[in-house]
Amino acid sequence: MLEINELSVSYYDVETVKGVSLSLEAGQIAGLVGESGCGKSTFLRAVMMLLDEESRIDGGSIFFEGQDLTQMKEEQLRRLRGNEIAMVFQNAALAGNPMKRVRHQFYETVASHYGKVSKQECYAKGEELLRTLHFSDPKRVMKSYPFELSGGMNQRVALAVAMVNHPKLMLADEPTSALDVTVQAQVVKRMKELRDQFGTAMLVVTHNMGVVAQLCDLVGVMYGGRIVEWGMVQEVLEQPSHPYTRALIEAIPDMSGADPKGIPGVPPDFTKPLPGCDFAPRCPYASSACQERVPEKCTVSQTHWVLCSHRKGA
Amino acid sequence: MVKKIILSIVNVAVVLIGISFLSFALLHLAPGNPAEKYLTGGDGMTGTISQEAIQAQEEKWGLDKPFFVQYLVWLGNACQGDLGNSYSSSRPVVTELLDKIGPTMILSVAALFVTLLISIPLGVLCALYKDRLLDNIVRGFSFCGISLPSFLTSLLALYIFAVQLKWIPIVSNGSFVNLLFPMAVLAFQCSAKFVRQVRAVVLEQMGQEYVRGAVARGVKKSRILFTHILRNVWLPIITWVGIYFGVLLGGASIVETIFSWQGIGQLAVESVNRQDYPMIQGIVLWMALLYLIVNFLVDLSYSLLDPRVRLRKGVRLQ
Repeated sequence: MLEINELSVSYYDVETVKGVSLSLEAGQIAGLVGESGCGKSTFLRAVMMLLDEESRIDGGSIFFEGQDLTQMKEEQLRRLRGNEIAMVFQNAALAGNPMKRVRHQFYETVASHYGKVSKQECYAKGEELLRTLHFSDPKRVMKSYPFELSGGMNQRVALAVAMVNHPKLMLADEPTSALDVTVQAQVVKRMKELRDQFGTAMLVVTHNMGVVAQLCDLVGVMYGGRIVEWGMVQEVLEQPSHPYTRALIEAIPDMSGADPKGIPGVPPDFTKPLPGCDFAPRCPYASSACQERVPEKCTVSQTHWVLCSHRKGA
Repeated sequence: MVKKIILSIVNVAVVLIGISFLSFALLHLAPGNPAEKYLTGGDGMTGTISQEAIQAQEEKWGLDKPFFVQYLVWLGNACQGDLGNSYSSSRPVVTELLDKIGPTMILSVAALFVTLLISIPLGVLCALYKDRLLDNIVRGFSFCGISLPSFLTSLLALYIFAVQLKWIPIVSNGSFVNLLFPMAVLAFQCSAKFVRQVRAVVLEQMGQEYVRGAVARGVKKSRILFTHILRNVWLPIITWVGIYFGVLLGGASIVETIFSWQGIGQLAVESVNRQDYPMIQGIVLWMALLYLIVNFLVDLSYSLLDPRVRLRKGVRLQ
C-alpha cells in the first residue's frame, strides 16, 4: 500500500535523503532508527509531501495505494492528509494553534474531510480516544489549550488527533519520546490496537530500541540519508548485519550500570558527500573499496537486506 | 479585578501628574513672554507696549508668582476639572478642547478606518504572494509613503486638487469633501507603514509549526488563513491600531494645519505659537489621557483574545 522508490530530498541544494526505497503492507509497522540528523525526519515529512520551502524532492516516487504522491495536486494531497495519511510531529506541543482549544483540532480534522459534522460528536470521539491513551480526565484535556498541557500530554493528544479518522497510514516522528515507560507501554498498545482494528500501516521514527522491539514489525536503520539495513525486527535485532546497526545496538545502555559504548567518530556531514559508504570513516571493517563507491544492496534473507559489502554478522 | 482597576487608576493619575509637570516646566523654560505676545498680538512689535501693561497682564494670569506656586495652583484647579481659560480666546480650555475634539475624532476615525481597509487585506495578500508582482508594487508605494513627509504629500494634494483642479476649496469649511483629502493623506501615510507590519506578522505566523500541523491534518488553505493565522495576527494588529489611533487623535498637527481642519492638531500649533500656557497644558493632558486609555483598551483586548494572557493565573493542568 506504500511503496517508496529511490526518494531523494535536498535541503538548500544539499542532498539529505539519498535514494531511499521501502515498501509497507497494510497493517505493518516499521520503525526508522538512526542518529540525530541522519535524515529520518526529513524523509518522514517528504512521504507526506510536507517539506519546507527550502527543501525539494529531487527524484523518486511515493506510491500510496497505487497513486504517486509526488505527482499529486495540492488539493488531492489535502484530501489524503489527516484522513488517509496522518502525521504526528516531533514537537507535538507546537502542532496545535495556541489560540485554539485541543478539542478544536479533533473537530477540524474530521470536518476538513467529512464536511458538516456535529461538533459534539467529534468531541465525544476525541474524548474516547484520549481515554484509551491513558488520560484520566479527557473532558478537561479537550477544553485545554496546548500550552496548558505537558509535553507527554501533547504527544498523546497529537496521536489521538492522528487516529481520529482511522488513517490507512500513520507517520509518527518520535511519538513516545516525552512519555514515561508506563504511559509509553499504554500508548504502544493503543497504536497496535489501531493497527489491528483498522489495518493502519505505520512508519515510526524513534530513538528508542525498546519501542522498536515492542511496536514494530520491520525496522530500517538510517545513516547519512540512506537506509543501510532493513528487515524484520527480530532479524535485525538478533542478526545485525551492518556495522552501524551493531554499533547502535551495542550503544543501548543496559541495567548493569556499565558505561554504554558510544560510536567513535562523528555523523556524516551532508555538505561534504563522500563517494563511497558514508559509514566508512567510522567503520572498523572499512576497506579501500568502501571509500570509493557506495556498496550494493546485499540480501541476508528474503525480508532482510543490508547496504554493506562485508555482511560480517550474516 | 477591583484591585487591578484601582491600581490602573492610580497609575493613570501618577502618569498624568508627571506629564503635566514636565510640560509645565518646559513651557516656562521656553523663551518669550506670553503676556507680551498677547498684548502685541504675537507680531513681535516689542517696545510698543509699556512695561506696566505687560506686568499687569502677567499679574492677571498669575505669571508673577514663583514657578512651583503656579504649578500647584494649576494642578489644584485641574483636579477640580478647571483647566483655566485660554489666553488668546479667554474661553475655558475645556470648552475649546471639546470644540476641537469632534473634528479630530472624525478625521482620525475616518483615516484609521481607511487605513485598516487598505492595509489588512493588502498586507495579507502581500504575505501570501511574497516577492511576487503585487508584493513588489505595494512595497514601492509603501517606501514612498514612509519616506515622503506629510507636509509634502499634503501640499502636493492641496496644490493639485485645490489649486489646479479646484475640486476642493483651499480653506476648509468642515464639509465631507474637505475631510477626504486630509483623511487620504493620513491614511496613505499610516497604510504605508501598516501594510508592511501586517505582511510581516502574517509571514511570521505562516512559518509557525501549528500551520504545518494544520496542513498535515488536511485543513483547507482558506481555513488555515482565516481561522488560524488571522486569529493569531489580530493581537499585534490591535496593538498597532492602538498606537496609530493615539497618534491620530492627538492631532495630526501638520496635516490639520495645512488643510485648515479645525482640530486639536491645528489648535496645538496655534497655541504653541501664542505661548498659550493653559491651552497647551490642556492639549498635553488630553494626549496623555488618550494614550493611557488606548493602552488600557489594548491590554484589555489582549486578555480577552489571547488565552495565554487570560489564563496566566490558575493554569489548569490535569
